[in-house]
Amino acid sequence: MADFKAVTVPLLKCSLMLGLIVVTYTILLYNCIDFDQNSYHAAILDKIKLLEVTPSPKLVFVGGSTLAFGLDSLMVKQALGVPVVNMGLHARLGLKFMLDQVQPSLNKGDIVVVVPEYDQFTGNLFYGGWFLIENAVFTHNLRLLLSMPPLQFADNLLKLNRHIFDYNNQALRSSKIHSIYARNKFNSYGDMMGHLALPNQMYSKKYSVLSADINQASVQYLHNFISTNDNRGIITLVIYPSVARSYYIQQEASITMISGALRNKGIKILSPPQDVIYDDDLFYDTYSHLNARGRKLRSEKIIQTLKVTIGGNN
Amino acid sequence: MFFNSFSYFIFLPVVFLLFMLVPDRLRWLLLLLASYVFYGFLLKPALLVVLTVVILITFWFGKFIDQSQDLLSRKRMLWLVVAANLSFLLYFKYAPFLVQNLNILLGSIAGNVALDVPPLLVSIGISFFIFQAISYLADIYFRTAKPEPHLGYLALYLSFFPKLLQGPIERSKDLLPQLKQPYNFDYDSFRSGLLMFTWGLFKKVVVADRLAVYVNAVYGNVNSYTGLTLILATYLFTIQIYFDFSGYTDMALGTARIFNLRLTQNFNSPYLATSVADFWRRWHISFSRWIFEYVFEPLQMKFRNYGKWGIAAALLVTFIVAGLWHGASWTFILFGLTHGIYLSVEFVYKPYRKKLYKLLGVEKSSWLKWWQVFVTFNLVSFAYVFFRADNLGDAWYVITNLSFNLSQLRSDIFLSQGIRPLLLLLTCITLMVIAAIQPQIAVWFKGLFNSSGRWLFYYLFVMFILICGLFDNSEFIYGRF
Repeated sequence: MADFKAVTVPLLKCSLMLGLIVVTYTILLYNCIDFDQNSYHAAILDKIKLLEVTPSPKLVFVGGSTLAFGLDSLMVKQALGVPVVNMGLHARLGLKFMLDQVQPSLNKGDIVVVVPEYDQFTGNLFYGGWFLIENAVFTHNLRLLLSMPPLQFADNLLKLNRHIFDYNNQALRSSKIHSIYARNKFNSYGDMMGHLALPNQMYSKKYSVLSADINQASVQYLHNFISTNDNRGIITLVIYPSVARSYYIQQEASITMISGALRNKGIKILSPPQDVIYDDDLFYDTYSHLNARGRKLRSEKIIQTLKVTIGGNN
Repeated sequence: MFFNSFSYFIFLPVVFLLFMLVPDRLRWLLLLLASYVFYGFLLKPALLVVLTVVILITFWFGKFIDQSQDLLSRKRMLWLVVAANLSFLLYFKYAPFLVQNLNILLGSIAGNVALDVPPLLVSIGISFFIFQAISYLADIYFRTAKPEPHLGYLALYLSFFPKLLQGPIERSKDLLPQLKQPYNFDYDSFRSGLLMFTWGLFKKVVVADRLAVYVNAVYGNVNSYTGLTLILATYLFTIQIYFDFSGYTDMALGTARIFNLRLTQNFNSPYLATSVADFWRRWHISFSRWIFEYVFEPLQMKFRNYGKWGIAAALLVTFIVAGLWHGASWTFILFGLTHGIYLSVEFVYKPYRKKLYKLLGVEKSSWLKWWQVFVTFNLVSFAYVFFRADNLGDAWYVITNLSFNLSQLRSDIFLSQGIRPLLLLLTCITLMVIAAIQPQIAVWFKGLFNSSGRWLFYYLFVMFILICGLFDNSEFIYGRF
């Protein structure tokens, strides 16, 4: 205990310095997160508006970039005869945000198709990642961050340092690969169009292993979302995300565990994970971003599945 | 919990503050609890169970081995407990690899016979604390150490959180006495511990993780590259793995030093080694020492009748074991085998090499050392192809295509992150190479952190890490082993 007095001064000094570092970093970060009105993030403004103005009954797709890159909403609209809204933007918004975002704009008779990436059910992605923080800063809606666990928030805050060092780089921003990640590359349904005419980009096939620990809060939240919608006369359907075969092979054990957890909770998924695996050459720049050919195949399959489940005009 | 995560940045000060508040007699308990919480953050209850079982059997068998006077029963007990410890390792780390290879063997003999391949389990930290347990028991068996009478201290020795996930592999006689010493706050130790931790963080997030972006891009798709791109990626991996692992070790040593504890220094400028044997004296020192004492020396005794060829064979087997320790795959076995061959050849031809230098008249040349450093660095880098490649096919592709299309460098890979990270890496690596060659520069740099303006340098250095570090890739390479 006597040591405690001797240690107080250095600890106070350290604390003061850490405080100064936190303040400097936060100020730097807040000033450097500078999205223009054509950034990928800005697409969320169009998607929210589209969701609000589209009349019910409507078909709303909820998910991450898997949906943004892999859905032809026009094809779905023509096949099923209902207006379509594609809310897919980025997995790192977190499933919680994605579901919360659409809930107030849904009305009786609407159909919501949730296509959650597998990692929404493992680890803490459910609460959102760095993309959610960027989005909160961009939309000046910091309340979005309240539900993110503090440690997760701090970890993600560190990841945003790229805005201070890496992204402050015009050459990188305007490079060919990054230029498709822009608001004006989405069509009026919320589908990404920028990659459709481009050749596949090379990407690493060594994927981060999905955690085998199921986030039960995430599963429960989806379950509650479905129940609430049921009570309001809104149909909720869940579909697995389309992934590259190489990804599925590496993650098969975790995916089986995730589908088991969803099944145990009573969440019905329209088709098994194996039904939405596509060859690697059908993906543009990651294991989940389908290219033009893959997108067409995937959209046809979604139409087929939805027709069987809810019927359609044709 | 990883050292480069925000959770750890909170965990460490909290543990330290509690450590200051509790009386000396309870400090071991606090550190033990902290170690379990640290390990528990991995959310793998099975690992905590294994750690506990290993602690218990090591404690009891240590006592039994010590008490027994009969050499044969001592030997039997040692082998029994070593087998029990290794069985955990086998189950968690090697079972899928063994069954897969057994299936191939059975398939070639009996046709359609296939056993179910068990899933690969998370085994992080296991090989480190099991190796420590084995060394503790072996030392008792050889009567070079006495068993620890206090279960709590033994548990802390095996599980102490700074070294739990990736070592250093500590000897009981080095760490246990330190754990029992009463703690007195020492400002210099506290300060140097924090500095060492920060230096390790810099190595990991500014250098190693940024290098990993380029290395992963190439090694994640090796078939798309040839020649210079593969060569450059392999050299970059050689640098990455050093900064990754030595960064971790600095953070571990720094953490321990905050608590007034000294862990084994694991690195001593390994890429300035003048031979592969010298490299292993400078690289992952605690592991090299372990494998030398507990694998090589017994093997050398067994093969002693075969002269220098016996030693060469012992080296070969030892390094195959070392390769296998790194991971359950043929690539790691080949990594170990390659080093085994290097060392065996080096050993057998050592007398001839001296004669050759004499014949060429270069034995006293100052350039000879640098030539040896250059050759050793390249041999080590070549062996890393097996270490880094995801499978044998990729490793074979890299080796056979290193010299194909030699002039073709895929600059887009190295420019994919923009020019700034590239310049940052080049600057950092160049400065550190210069500091390694000219130690007075390192001394000058350290001096900045001891000068009257040191708080300014602390602030600038931490801000530099926060701004330039890459906090995406939280895993350490050796965390897998």
